[in-house]
Amino acid sequence: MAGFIWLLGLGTCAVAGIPLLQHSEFRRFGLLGRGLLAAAVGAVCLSWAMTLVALLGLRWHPVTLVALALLAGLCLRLILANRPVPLASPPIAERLGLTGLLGAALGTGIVVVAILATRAGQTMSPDLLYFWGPKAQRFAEVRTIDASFLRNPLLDYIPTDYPPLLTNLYAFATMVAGSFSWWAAAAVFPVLLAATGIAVAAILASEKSRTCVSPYAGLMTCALGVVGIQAMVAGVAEMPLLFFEMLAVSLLILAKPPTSGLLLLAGLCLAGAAGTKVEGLPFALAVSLLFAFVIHARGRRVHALAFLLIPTLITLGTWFLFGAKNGLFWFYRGYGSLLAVRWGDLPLVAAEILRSIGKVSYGLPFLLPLIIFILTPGKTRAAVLPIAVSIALIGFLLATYLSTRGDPRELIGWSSARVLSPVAGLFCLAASRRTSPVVLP
Amino acid sequence: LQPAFVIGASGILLALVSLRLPLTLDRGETPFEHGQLRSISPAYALLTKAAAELPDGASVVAVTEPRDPLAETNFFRAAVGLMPRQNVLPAARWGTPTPEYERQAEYVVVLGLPAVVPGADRLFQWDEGTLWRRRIR
Repeated sequence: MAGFIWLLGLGTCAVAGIPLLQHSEFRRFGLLGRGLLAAAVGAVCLSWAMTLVALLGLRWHPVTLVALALLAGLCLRLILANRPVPLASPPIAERLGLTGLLGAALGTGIVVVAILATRAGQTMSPDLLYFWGPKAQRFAEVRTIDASFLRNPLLDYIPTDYPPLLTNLYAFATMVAGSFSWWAAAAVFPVLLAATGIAVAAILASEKSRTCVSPYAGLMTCALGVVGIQAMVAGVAEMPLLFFEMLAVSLLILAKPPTSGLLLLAGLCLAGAAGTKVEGLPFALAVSLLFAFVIHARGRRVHALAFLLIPTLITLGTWFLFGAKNGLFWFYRGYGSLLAVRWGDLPLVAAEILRSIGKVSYGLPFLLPLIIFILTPGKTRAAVLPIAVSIALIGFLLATYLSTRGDPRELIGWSSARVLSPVAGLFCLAASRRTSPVVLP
Repeated sequence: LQPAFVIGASGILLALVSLRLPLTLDRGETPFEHGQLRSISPAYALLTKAAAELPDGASVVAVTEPRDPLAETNFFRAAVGLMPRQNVLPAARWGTPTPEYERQAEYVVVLGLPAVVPGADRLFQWDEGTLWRRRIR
């Protein structure tokens, strides 16, 4: 029961996202899609509010935090107040065809497997036990981001500069429930796996028929689920990161030129990714720059870039200010060594990455979506974004491993499959962007 | 044919992971019970039980039997997570013993049986290990 309350506490962050998602432009995503997008936006607002309160040296209280996050959500809504709204209708109620039903069933199947595996104790990451959980418990207990805890030399194995979104939200749920729940934290993996599949399907279905979209959303859910189960990501930041990343890219690959509202929504999802894991920042930068300078129309690049990047600048900026104020960090420590790449190690690192990926169901969660993308007839320009971002992400990962001090094989062995998991999802999104005979008006 | 390929690929992935996992409807005793890291499970169970018996703020050290600084490094980290209300001190850090911290602790959690902690009284014994309290010197 305590675990259920803990999860409900986590879900209350959706309240802060409701004002923005109530905008008529977003009706096209349907009620469920809007609810999940509201949760994504609300999570970003709540985490930012918690970081800001900690930066100001004040104590957290759940009610005031929700109020502050809601205020941030209302401000976001005001940004869209006087902007022209394109005619948007709710998704057309249509029957799922056979392929649509099969896609939904397979997506549901992998979520059920993820639930059973998590419940049986097969998917929990030790990192939840070693640092995500301890940080969240401590922050909930002292009702702020505890700089003295992060500074404790006996706890030097706990990363201090990791972005705060997940620990903030876990601390919030702990304050609401009264205690931390390891099982509920682990359950975040299957819950967000399902949420990612449903939200991506809802976003893509705003433009194509659900029968067309459902198999691709199902494939993405299966690929992410298989990697998540086998790389044991329950309770840690991988699944929240994927949730934000897949939502952001799904919004940006819709065929029509995006409105300010869509750009803002995608920018908030990118801020969520950047606030969740260190590699979320290069992802947000790659998506924003590639979208603005490669995909988007020439005349509105600065406008697109501003909407996509400002939420990340504000949320991460608040976090780096907190770090600087408390003498903890100025920026991510690991990024400093990225320039010290040892190119001579490339064959070793590439072989080790391939071997590590091969251990996850023979690499099929990555290979099958890639093969399907390659074989897809009628590829559209929208597929450029997920493919280009995949290449950028692989480049960032290679640079990270090539600049690791000492032998990188152990690091690659336990991290590469899960860190590369967005690539599997991005291949699925790219494959879904084919010309379709069934396009809704 | 494209949707059929997509459905087929999803089916292959689902089948592979279902066949690979020992899927069960049983809930594990700990969140690590049936996974690749099941070796953490006894430590998790022991620390959870010991935490329930310890007073808030008590100083505690977590050691293994037989002594192993590498295992004790991870045991300390797990204890920090599972004993948030106690002051957990390390028996080892980064694979190196830290006797200067270990001897400061009033309570000792020992993973593994049998165990004897000199100068301490055994308070509880479970399947996974024991909890001891050092006598006042």
